[in-house]
Amino acid sequence: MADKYNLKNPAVKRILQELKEMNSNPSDDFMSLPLEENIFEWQFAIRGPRDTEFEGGIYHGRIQLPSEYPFKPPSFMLLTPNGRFETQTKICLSISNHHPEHWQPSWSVRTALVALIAFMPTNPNGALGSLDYKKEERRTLAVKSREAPPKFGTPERQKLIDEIHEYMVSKAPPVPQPSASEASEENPRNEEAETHANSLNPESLTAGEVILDQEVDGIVEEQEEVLANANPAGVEASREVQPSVSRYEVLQKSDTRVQNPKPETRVQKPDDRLFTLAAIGLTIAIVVLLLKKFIKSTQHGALFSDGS
Amino acid sequence: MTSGFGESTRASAPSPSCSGNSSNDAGDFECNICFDLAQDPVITLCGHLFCWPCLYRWLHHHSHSQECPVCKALVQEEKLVPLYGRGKTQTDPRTKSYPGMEIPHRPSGQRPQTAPPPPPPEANPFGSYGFGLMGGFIPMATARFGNFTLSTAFGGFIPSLLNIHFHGFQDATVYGTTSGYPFGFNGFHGGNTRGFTQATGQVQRQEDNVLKNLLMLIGFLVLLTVIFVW
Repeated sequence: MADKYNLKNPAVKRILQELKEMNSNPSDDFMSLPLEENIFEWQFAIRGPRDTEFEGGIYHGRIQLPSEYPFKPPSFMLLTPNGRFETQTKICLSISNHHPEHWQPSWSVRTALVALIAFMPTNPNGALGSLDYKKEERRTLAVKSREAPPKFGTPERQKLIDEIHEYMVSKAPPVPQPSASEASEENPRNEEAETHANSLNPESLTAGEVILDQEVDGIVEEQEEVLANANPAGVEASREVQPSVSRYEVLQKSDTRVQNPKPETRVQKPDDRLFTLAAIGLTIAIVVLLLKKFIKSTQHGALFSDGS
Repeated sequence: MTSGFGESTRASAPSPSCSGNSSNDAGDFECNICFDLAQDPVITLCGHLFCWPCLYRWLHHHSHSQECPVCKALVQEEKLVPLYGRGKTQTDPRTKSYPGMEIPHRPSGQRPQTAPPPPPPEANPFGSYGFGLMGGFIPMATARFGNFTLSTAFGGFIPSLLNIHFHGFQDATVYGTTSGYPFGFNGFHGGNTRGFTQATGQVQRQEDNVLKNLLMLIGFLVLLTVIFVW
């Protein structure tokens, strides 16, 4: 596949690097593949987040990467009806090209899909391309999403969609029934993916809820902006943990070096002792002199009293 | 985030292929923008590694503010630190060329001053001088105290002068080194960490200097008292 593309293009090299990384570390939460004819066109499918009305659902979508990727953000479009985002419409999030000022070049398709999963249960608050269905309707749509993948695009693209759907059906557990929760427990789960998804979900939800509470009286446009800002906190929070750990280790190393014994320190110890002794001697001398002066004063008093 | 997650995944899933292992080793030195081994690597104050061409393009053509592509911290070009390995620096066949863009040379490293030479031991002059004086006097009761005071005063006076002069030189060097680079910067650079260590040593010497000044003052007061009494 690599031979077909222009390797001198930095965007192509970056996309191939991401593709290689995703192939070597596949995830149970999402899958994405580019088209054979155009590496800037991707198809993806995400699993509905756990413990929500979307759980068990398999939602397909399309990603369009710009020619200046990763310096410009991609655009995302969902194809499966889900009750949270409109289909066949570009999604408005801080990870998409609706807000290029919030995009970070270090983000990738993988981080974008993880963020998309985390944004499913959030409150849309009228954001562009968002829907606000009821929980029952969303669960119905989740069940329906597993039965068949959506029909979209050319036969080659449809073939890719079918392949992705088959992979996701085999990985994602079925939709849990409200009455019986044993069905979901029977299926094995990837603990690592679950840990990663859960670690991101609370942060994103917490950040979103906190910000939204502060902006209750804001107008629709401001709420849209606030919702977009919720994602950087979620994505960056996970990122920032690592640098702080590294700095702590570096600080520990420097502390260790400082505490190492050195010739200078050894040489100075006798010097300190001598100075301590000198200080004590000086103190004693001062006390003795004061006593002397006191004795003389007493004698003078005695002479005076004898005279009188 | 991507590299961190990748590393944890690789640890849990051992060696699916040889290329996986090799990429795992090089993950720590990959650019955060192009995900490839960093070419002309530069590192920001917040500790994130980039290719210089990638970072230059981001700062000068795409970023609305001078922010780090990973953590949005402020990036100042004059505070970027280049990494010099053992590879060829001049002609690199893997030169990354962005079309229609001339990228200048990456910022040069800010080399601190050469480390000061190790100072000679300081205890000898005071010790020998003090011992010599104290050993040569008569052991009488009254004269003993007086002579002890005199010898201590002399012992504390001359070494203080010498030490003040010596430490003045050292302090100037240390201040020159530390004023330009805050501790956070020193934490990420091996050479500067040594500078920080010496700074700690100098602090101890400054305390010794203060103590010597105090002793000199006390000696002077004792001399005044002796003159007044006699």
